Amino acid sequence: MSYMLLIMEQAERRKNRAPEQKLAELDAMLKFQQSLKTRGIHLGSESLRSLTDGTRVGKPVDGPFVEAKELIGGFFHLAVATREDALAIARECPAAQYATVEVREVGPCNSD
Amino acid sequence: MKYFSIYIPNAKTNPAHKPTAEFKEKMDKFVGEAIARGEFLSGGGFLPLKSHGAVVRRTNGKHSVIDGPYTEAKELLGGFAMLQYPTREAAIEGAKRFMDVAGDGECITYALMEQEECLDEQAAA
Amino acid sequence: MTAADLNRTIAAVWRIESARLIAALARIVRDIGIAEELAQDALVAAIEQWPQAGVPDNPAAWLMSTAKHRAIDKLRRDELVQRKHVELAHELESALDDTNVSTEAALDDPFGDDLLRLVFTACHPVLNTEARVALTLRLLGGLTTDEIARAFLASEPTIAQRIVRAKRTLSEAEVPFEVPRGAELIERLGSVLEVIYLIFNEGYTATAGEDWMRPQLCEEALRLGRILVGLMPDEAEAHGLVALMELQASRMHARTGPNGEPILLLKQNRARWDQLLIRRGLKALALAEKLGGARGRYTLQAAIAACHARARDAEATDWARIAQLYATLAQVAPSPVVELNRAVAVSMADGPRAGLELVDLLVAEPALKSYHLLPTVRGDLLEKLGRNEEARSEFERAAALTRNARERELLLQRAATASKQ
Repeated sequence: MSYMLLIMEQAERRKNRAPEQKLAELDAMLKFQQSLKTRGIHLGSESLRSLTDGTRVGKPVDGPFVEAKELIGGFFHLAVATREDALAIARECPAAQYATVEVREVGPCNSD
Repeated sequence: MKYFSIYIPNAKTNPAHKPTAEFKEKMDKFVGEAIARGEFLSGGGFLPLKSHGAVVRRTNGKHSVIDGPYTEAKELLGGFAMLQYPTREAAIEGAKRFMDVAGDGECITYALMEQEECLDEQAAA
Repeated sequence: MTAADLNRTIAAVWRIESARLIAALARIVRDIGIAEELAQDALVAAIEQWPQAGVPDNPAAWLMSTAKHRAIDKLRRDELVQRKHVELAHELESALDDTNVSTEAALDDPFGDDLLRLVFTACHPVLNTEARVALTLRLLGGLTTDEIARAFLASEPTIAQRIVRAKRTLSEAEVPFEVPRGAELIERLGSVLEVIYLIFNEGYTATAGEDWMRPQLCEEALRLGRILVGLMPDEAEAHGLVALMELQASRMHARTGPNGEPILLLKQNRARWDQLLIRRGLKALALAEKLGGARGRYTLQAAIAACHARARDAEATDWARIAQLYATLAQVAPSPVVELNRAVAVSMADGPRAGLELVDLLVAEPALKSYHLLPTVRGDLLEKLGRNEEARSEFERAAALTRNARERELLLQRAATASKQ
């Protein structure tokens, strides 16, 4: 069983944040990641670059992704069993202070 | 280069449905071949937010958990994958081939921030 | 938040934070029984206060601070003084009065020393294996007595007693709250790894009862293994154990069919194998080998699991390598079960006759007398050699030996199939 925390940031904020702030935020995320490892629940995590280095393929689907106002700044993949466990972790996540943290239950790839 | 990709099926043209045996076989084959080529590293499907997830936001020091209603796109977040491609163009191609099997929707693919020292490479744990 | 939501939230916080909390308290009071009581008191306080006050921003720090205050209250009522030596009471008082130590710092434990002390104490050899497992699940896993009881198909009072007695044994033996060193560390580490793998195996093979597996136990064992690796990153066998568990766990979604029937490894749909876990497992294995652990028992078993993980389909399995790894394992950690597994690998690499020769050597082995996999394997090889009547009788014998209902069904089916040939 696993859950994913998707860090949804405002694109404007990402663009305008100062380098020191970027470093401080990455540092906080690393510490958070380390605390997940200490508790044995870290499956994976990454910081993501802005979409200029990425791609969008396919016809845009209605919703916030379309306007590119919001982007995924990073994710944490957690080995926790319940939604409440994932929420408890989401509340601790430093990104919750400046971004929205989406909590998603992960099912097996190509499940029944 | 490693990428993190989100796939959102199109609610109108590719609504959520129980996958047929044929679909599963096609998808299994696609994923199996992608694994063999070293393109697919891992992935999973997202379960619907309303019953299986949540959104947490912190404003003025107080946490709030927002349970819905969500915009359509959030409900439909189909799945994610960690991928490896030699170029951005290859990633674009891969996304197209994936949607040939998975159906209409959008693939949003992000490059990882630190390629030389990926956060999840640093320790086995 | 509804009352039900809040209860689930508190339960989640407890599961995630209780181990570190108990470990930090144990460092102060030097007794894990008392530490757990203090932690439980804090939990009760949370259940009483959070409905009105809301869930605090830093639940772990709140619990720690509350636990400390409860300890002071207890001290003032002299309970603790009567329970332990007077010196302890003085130490506790001065630790609690130390206003320079912030609550966050008290929980911070950056090198995980307290948690490691807790791990080694819960797995202390003065306790029998059952006691170590129960105590580990309780103190490190944060599982309730009821959850542990259900996992091991024991009654709740039995488990409760087991835990009480375990704590008392540690207290009476005056087991110090510390991490062993040198030669003792290696030996004691073996005990820790054994407990974790026992928990995993109980979840993975569910030796008794209706379920084919109990995934929650596997998850718990994985978490404990990852915590251990985080605390002891230079220990090859810790990485080896995590590698083994991750590689085995990667198959969990492929092991049961749509009607809950078990599916053996060679027949599983490999598209259902969890690639994330396989990647992690292979990385952990590589690290274990790099740290010089290639001949460790868990690392070897992980290497065997890796052979399966790397094979695109059953036909691509490198059985010769698996047979070789089992041969090494037989030197490092000899056992009749290892010999049996080696026989299976040999039969796949060199044919059923070669395998049967090795299995026949084990038939009189007393340790395998009640081991259902021996007749299962023998039955399988006999069937492949066309000796169907003998195969049927072996499958029936295996069915009678297994305590797992699903497995029994499977074996009886195989007996029926063999007799129809």
